[in-house]
Amino acid sequence: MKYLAALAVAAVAYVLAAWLVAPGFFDGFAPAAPYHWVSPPPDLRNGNQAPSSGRTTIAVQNGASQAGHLYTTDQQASVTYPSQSFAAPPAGAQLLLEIQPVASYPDLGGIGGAGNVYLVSVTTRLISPVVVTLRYGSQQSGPPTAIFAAETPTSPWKSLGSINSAVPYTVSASTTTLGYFVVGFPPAPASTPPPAQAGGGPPVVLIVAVAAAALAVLAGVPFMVARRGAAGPEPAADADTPQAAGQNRGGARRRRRRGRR
Amino acid sequence: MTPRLGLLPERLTNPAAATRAAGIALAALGLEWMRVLVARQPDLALVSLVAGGAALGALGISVGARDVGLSRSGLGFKLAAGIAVGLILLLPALTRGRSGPLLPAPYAAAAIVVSIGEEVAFRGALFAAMDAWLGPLPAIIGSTLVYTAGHVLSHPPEFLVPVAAAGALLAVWRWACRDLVAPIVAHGIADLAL
Repeated sequence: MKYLAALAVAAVAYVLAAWLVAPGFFDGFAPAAPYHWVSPPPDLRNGNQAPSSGRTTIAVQNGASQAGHLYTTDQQASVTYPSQSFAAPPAGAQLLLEIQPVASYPDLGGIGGAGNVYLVSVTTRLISPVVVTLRYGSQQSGPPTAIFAAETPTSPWKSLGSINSAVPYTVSASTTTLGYFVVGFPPAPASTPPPAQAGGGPPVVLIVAVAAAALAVLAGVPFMVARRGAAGPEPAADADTPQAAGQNRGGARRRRRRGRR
Repeated sequence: MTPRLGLLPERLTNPAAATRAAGIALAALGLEWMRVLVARQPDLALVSLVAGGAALGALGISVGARDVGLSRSGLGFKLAAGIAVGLILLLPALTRGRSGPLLPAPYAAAAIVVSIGEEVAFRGALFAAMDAWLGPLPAIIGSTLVYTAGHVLSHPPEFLVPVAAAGALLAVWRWACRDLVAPIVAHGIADLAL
């Protein structure tokens, strides 16, 4: 009984602890660092750091811009550009590409932003598609699905969709224009009910905790039966060591042999 | 003759067991931190996950499959129990309608390697070494603390509480059921889903 009780207590403790932060247990695949917000959500204001920008000079050879990547210093946004993505600058001028997190941008309308809005600009112009990759800092009922772009401060936002991104917690999209970019969710249809409030109320967490305890006990019962079958009466604390467990199994084997005789 | 300190219980002053447990704890912690630091290089993220997970799993070799809680007996029950424990780990997220991104195939494979490696290292080798040194309760607490410490570089502080609670749940399972298969399965499910 003490083993099942311990499993139930551990399961309840886990649910209560996991309820403190969504989604709960993360392991190994969480973002390497907390997201740096321009305007952090209220619950993330403490400890928020300002996001960083990125800037690079793109080499031009024989009138063709060279391929490369530009990351912001905190690696929350990047642009991947093949060769000849940008028009060559006039002789003597530099080809500069810049990514900046911005606080001022076109109205998002119904778009649910899941990160900062970034302004991507170049000193010449874009002439073939580049890939914009944005890390996201929050989710709704799932990860964000698309990158949205607005070419100028007065342009409407349009969805660029997404392409496969090999890096978790990021969304990538191909674009033929530069300007403002944000990762997020498309506007919800008017008839769609609002998503359930994350966190729920105390009764919900209690129900989940009880369910977790019941599940832990149910899953543990076959092991307790096997344990009793192998060791006879419930073992003393010392029998929990692997060495003692081995001795108990030996005892069970001896008892079975005696029974056969 | 091993030296004893008069006022301490005998097993506390067992230098061989203490050295073994401390060595495994330091190795597991070092591998976890190294894995996270290397993964910060974008081109090395996948390699560090797989290599780090495999290195953690290799710590189990120092203890042996049986002592880390791995055996084939009752494998069906253990796999089913692993699914049940995995469901417990996912319950808070499922209830609130949260899930992680669908991992690309290489990262999904890496997640499984890391799950196996962490379970073998923390609930397997470290738990067994601490159990042999100090008994089951210190083994549960100690393996959970080291597992949590292993995540301080990769997780914001607020996430360490659920990480510790998940580690404790899996360690209690390891003690109560003398099994590591279910924690491995549960851990893998949670990593793939979250």
